[in-house]
Amino acid sequence: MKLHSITLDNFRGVSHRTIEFPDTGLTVVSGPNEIGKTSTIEAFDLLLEFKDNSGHKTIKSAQPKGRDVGPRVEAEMTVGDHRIRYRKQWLKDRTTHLEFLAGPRKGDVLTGGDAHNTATALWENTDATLFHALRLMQANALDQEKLTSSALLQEALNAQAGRSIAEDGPGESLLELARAEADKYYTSSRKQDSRDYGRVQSRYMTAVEARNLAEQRFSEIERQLNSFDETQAEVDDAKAALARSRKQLADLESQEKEIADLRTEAISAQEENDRLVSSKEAVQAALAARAELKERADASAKAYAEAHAEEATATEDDAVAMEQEKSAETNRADARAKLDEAHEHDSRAQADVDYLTKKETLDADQKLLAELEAIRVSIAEVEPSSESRVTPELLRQIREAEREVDTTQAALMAGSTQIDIASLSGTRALTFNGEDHELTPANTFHRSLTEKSAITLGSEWSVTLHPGTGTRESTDKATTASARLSELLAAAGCESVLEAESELDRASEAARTIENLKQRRKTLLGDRSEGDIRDSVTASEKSTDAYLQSRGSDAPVPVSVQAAREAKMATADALNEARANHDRAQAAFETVNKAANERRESRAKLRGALVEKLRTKDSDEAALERARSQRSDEEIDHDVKAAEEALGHAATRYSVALKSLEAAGADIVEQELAAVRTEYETFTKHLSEARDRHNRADGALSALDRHALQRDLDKAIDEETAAHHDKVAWDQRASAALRLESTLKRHQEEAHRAYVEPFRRQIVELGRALEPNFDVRVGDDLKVTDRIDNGSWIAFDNLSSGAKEQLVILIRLATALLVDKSDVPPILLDDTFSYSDATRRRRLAGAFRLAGEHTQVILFTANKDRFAALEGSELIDISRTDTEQVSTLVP
Amino acid sequence: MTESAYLEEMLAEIGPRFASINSWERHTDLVIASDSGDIAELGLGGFARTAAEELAEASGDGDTEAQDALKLLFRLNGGVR
Repeated sequence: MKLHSITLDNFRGVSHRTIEFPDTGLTVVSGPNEIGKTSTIEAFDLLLEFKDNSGHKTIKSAQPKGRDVGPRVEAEMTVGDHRIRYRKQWLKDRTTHLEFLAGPRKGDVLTGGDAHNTATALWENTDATLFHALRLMQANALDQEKLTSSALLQEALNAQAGRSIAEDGPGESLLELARAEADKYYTSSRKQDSRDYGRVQSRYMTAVEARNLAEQRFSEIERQLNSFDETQAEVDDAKAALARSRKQLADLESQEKEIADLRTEAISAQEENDRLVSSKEAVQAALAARAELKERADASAKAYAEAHAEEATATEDDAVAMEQEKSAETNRADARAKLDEAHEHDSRAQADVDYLTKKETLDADQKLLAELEAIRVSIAEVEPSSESRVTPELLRQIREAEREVDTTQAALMAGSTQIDIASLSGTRALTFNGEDHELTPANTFHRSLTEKSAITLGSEWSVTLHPGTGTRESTDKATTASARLSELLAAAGCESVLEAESELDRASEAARTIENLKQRRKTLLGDRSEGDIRDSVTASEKSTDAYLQSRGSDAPVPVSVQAAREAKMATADALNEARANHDRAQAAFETVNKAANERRESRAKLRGALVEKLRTKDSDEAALERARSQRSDEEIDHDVKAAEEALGHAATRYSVALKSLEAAGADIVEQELAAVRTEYETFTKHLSEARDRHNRADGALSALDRHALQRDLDKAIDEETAAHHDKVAWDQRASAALRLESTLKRHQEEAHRAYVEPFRRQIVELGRALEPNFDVRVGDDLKVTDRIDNGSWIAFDNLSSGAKEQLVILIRLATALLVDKSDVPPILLDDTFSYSDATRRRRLAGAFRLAGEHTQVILFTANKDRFAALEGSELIDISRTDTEQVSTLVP
Repeated sequence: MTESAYLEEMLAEIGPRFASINSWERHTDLVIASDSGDIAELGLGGFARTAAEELAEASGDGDTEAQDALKLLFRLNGGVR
């Protein structure tokens, strides 16, 4: 199919426009937005689809606003072998006009409905699917069309796959029929049964349930019959068992009577035997009593003899023990005497120690008293020296007065006239206030003149000196100080300060001596008083003297306390040894004494026992004699033999009776009789119960309508058989339909896959102009599912808008290239490449050019620069006027 | 195979008119065996033919379901033709 020209009149905003298209190659129709590019394509669709009398809203929307005119579209095109001009006007002056310009029907002109129907018939022979698939409209999303419905494309792809579209034609129909057949049995998902198929299966299930129910009901008849037979058998069995039991009972009762007679004889024999056993036991008791008396008399005689012998032996042992006891007593007395002597020696030694210790204390106290007396004498001697008028305070005042004298004297000297007399040669005599002095050149005489003074030089000169009046105050002070000093010295009883100091030192020394002596006395006394010591000395002297007088021993008193202590230690050792010897002797004595006492006690017991045994012996012998006097031993022996003989006869009779009873099986007969009686009662009860059940079974069987139940069962079986056959037939047909459908579908898919590959190859071949590694995956429905991008497969839906746009353009170009040149409709692209940059558009130029050589490629755009790279394309500018078409060729 | 398909079609068609119509298995001696002539007789091409051949081969191996599916194909194809 080819579009040669299209003319729009009064179509939306277009008053009149005609666009003529070249038969092949690229055509770029450019014009600004809202100029009516998209309307041109839509007008072509309206021309093909709607009759001129249509009032469809799309038609109405095509009428120019505000103008009462009808929109008109005319196109000239080639469809199959026919070149036609086709025109329609709607709403106003409705017109349909079809004119055959070339082809088999050249010259034919049709109008109205005939024109529309003829054009539609022509159009239906073309591939409308492909016509729409090769479009890309601005308003539509970037989607892929369903190309599997395109017969032309399928034919082309089958041809590529080495097949013919005609081959698969019946196959597709068969697949549809197989699907329809499968739809009879299954839902569209094939997961569940269809309503009819389900009904067949339900019928079968219902029939099975009905048959089971009928069988169950009928089985009740059988059960009741069985129950009737079983209860009849039970009645017969119970009767037979009861008859058997009755006969056994008669036999056993006869045996029971015989056994009763035997048991009477056995009881009689047993009673006789028991009586004779008692007699024999009485005689034997008498014999045993006699034997016991004899034995007791013998035993008591023997015990007495043994006790007598034992008592004699004890008497001998007692004598020996008494000797040992006496010897032990002697040893103990000797040890006691030695112990007492050791005690005496030790006591004396301790008294000597005490005496000497006390004597030593006495001597020390006496010495202490003497020393205390000496201290008392020394204190008395020193004590006067310690008593002085010079006290430390007085001495301090004296020293202060002396310093005052020195100070005032020095001040007086400093303020008085100074005299210096020197000898110029040799030694000269000089007298100053009556004192003689010798002068030498090296020794100058110097004085301060504080009072009237007289100097005599030799015999030639006498000089009297008078101090000045300015020194009087100083002189008074010096005089006062000297008077104070003299007064204090007088109070001290001393001539000078030195004497006062000496007097104080002497008194202090005496006081210190007294204090030392007192301290010594205190140390010597300790915590005792002198009076206590004197009292102690007096008492000790008396006691020591008394001890010496009372000691009364030849042994001398030890020379010292140490010697006395050593003697005491010796006597203590001797005392310990004597005490140990005494203890041992005492223990030995006690042991012997205890043994002797025990023997004495034992002997006393033996004597008592001997007396008792003698009494017993006499008593037992007397009792034996008394018994023999009543009945002799021989008489008792005779009675015993007679009783044993009679008992033997009775035991034999009893044994015979027991054996007869045992031979008759008395216990068994009794047990069997009891069991058979119980059994008889049980069988009687069983028979009664069996008769009851049998009667009930008979009644229940009579109540059932056996023939009606049999009819119901037969009917249910027939219905189940029919339903089963029906179900088996349906199952068979259902599985066959499913198998046929799946097999056909699988082979169809395999065939599809065979022709999908050329389609994919064509897209890839065009796409590699964009990118060297361009590749896509194509589904069985001829839709691109994935595209490779940077080495990764990306699903179509996840691609960017630019990538999607390029891909859907490539799909359209590839589709057009695959279909036969004579059949392929024009590729219409409305304002595309809005998502692609110039580089990509340039790269696609080759693909467009290739497609243009194959079919018409018509590009509508508002931006003609986008397609500047399309070399050889024809540019139609519709922007100038509605009626003017300007075509230029891109070099 | 063609006759068998026809028989089944007839039975399916007239079956509902009877209370019960079943094959008497003990007295039925009908053996269905497809051959290349059957498939050729179908006049199929393309994927339908390969599918029919696959079913015929499975029928020959005793696959009763495949045999039923093939009979159905015959029946449907008769309708198609």
